[in-house]
Amino acid sequence: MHGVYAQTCSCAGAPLISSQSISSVSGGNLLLGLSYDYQDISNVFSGSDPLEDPSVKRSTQSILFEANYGLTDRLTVSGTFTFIKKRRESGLQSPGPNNVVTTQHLGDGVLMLKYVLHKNTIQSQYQLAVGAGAKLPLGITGLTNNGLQLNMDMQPGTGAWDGIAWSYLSKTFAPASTINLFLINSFRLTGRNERFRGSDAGYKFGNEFVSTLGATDKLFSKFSYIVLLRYRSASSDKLGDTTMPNTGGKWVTVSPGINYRATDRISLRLSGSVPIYQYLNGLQPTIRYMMTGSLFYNLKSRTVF
Amino acid sequence: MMNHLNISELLIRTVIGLSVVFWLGGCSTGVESSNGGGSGGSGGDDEWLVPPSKVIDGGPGRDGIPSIEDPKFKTAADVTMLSDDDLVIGVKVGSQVRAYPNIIMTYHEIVNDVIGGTPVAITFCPLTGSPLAWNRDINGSVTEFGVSGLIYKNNLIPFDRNTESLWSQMLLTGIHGNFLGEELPHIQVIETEWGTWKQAFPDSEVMVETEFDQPYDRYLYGDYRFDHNDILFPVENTDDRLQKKDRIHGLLSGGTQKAYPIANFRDGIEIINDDFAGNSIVIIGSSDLNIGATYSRTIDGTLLQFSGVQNALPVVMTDQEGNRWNLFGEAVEGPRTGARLESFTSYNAYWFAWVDFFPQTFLSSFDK
Repeated sequence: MHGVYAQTCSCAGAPLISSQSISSVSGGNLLLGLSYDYQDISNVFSGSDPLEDPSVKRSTQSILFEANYGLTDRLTVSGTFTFIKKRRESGLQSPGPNNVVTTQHLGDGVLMLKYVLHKNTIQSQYQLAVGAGAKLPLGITGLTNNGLQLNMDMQPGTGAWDGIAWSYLSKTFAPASTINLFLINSFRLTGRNERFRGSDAGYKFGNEFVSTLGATDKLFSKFSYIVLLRYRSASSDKLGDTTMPNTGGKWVTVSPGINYRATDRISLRLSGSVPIYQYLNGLQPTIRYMMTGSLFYNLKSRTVF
Repeated sequence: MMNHLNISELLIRTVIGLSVVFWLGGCSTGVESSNGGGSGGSGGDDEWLVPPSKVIDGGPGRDGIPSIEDPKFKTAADVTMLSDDDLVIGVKVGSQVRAYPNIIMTYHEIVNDVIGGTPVAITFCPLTGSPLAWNRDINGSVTEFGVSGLIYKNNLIPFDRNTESLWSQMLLTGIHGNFLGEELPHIQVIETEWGTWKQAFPDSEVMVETEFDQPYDRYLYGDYRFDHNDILFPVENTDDRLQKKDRIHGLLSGGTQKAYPIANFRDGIEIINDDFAGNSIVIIGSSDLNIGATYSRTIDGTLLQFSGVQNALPVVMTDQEGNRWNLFGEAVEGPRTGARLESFTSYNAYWFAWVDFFPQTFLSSFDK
């Protein structure tokens, strides 16, 4: 900035579009999911180079509640709602006590329609689904601290409607193997909010593309594993027509996880995520690791994983 | 079966437990902060000198941009990290001369240093292009300054560590907290290109290292310095007489302001004997050497008339008494050797930032 380097951390949001991993549910079925997600954002990178001893560390905790309902065997409507808690601790390298700001509130949501173009059958073992939807600006964006409006990346919401396009492709190899390979692509075309109302400026988070290549297979008993290789790209944020420096970047993360089928209706997943490559525009705090725990409940007796 | 049930219950309770703990912790939605919460100002009241609605959280949080407390110096002649066109901020207090490269200041914005035995804060706001320094002894109490993470009119808001009062860099005034309305004791700086500086002050000390690991060779703000349309936060007052990122040398006196575009100074040394707001002043300017500095031209009751001296850095001007004066307004030859002209409150900044603060600025109409 002034002071503006590392202003708007591009990874501080809830993993809304990354969480869209359910392709479809059968007609009349309801699949509910509850996830807790913790992101440690205490690394600082300049380009692809990590810096020692950052002066700021952040974290984002999210509760995601998702509901997927099968309108037909091919058409599923999905809704995701979030509660977000963000923490920023600064002054790690300066004399005196550190400065901590925590915000928490209802976050944004996602509403999507997903359609299965090709159903997986024993004769043709792949599934293809596409979807479209919107990110709903349910989250608050005007939180203040001592009367001063906090920066966008500390607000639980983005204040803007976003469009989302989504696709899902999976492949199985029965009876030779029980492995399931899948590829999920999603794109978020971001809208502009009304920050700095009254001026020409409005804040627009960068468009986001996420591609996830995954594999899941049985391990033993009711356990299965899941491994994800995820590529995420976010373009720089804009305020008015100005490109915000030190925003946007590219991340490649690997996410191993364990699924547990507790009952025919209840499944759990615990997973972690670490970046194996990241390129940040300018200088930014960025993710160090992420932990997620999910609980899924299926109304009809059919396993999720 | 029992084993499966136990694992099942454990996992379910783990996920639900984490969620419940989180929800319970989050029942009180809103904001919590400690130690100023990035908004500084523990002055105990809500009074501001500027509209608080115009004060913006820049994002890094308080001290998220770390000020420098332990600068390391090299003699100018030994410095290799700078290009000739890199800007540096030069300060002279007593007999000690130091320079602070803008490429390092961009990452830290504030250096708490001691120069010539005087505690000095050297500050630089990369968004407004404004280098300013002041004495850190505020009303008899020495303090250090940090970066609050807040911005007013795109400009740095430092805070002092003793009282956590907030200050406006370009207003040189306390805007919130115990020192509301207090003026900072300004110290003249010379911002110029490294090529010019090392020629003028080859024996000076130059800050080349800090206690931090930062890629100082990479500019943090993309095309910001040169793209006139690239301004990060809203601007209230605009003025199209110059382009937004044109660098000007601005003068402040009471409620009156005047600006000299640095690019409009002629090449070599240009000396302007001027009168401004009842003050007789001399402006030292150079387009190709990238210089702007202002001093009073009255000394010991005598009004001096200056003329430029070319190719003799650090000497830049002479007067009717035969004295020769350097960039810091010091007589280095002649009958007044050792005397120093009184500095005039002035500093460089981008035009858009200056007029946003001072929309009534009189713009010098001289042509190159």
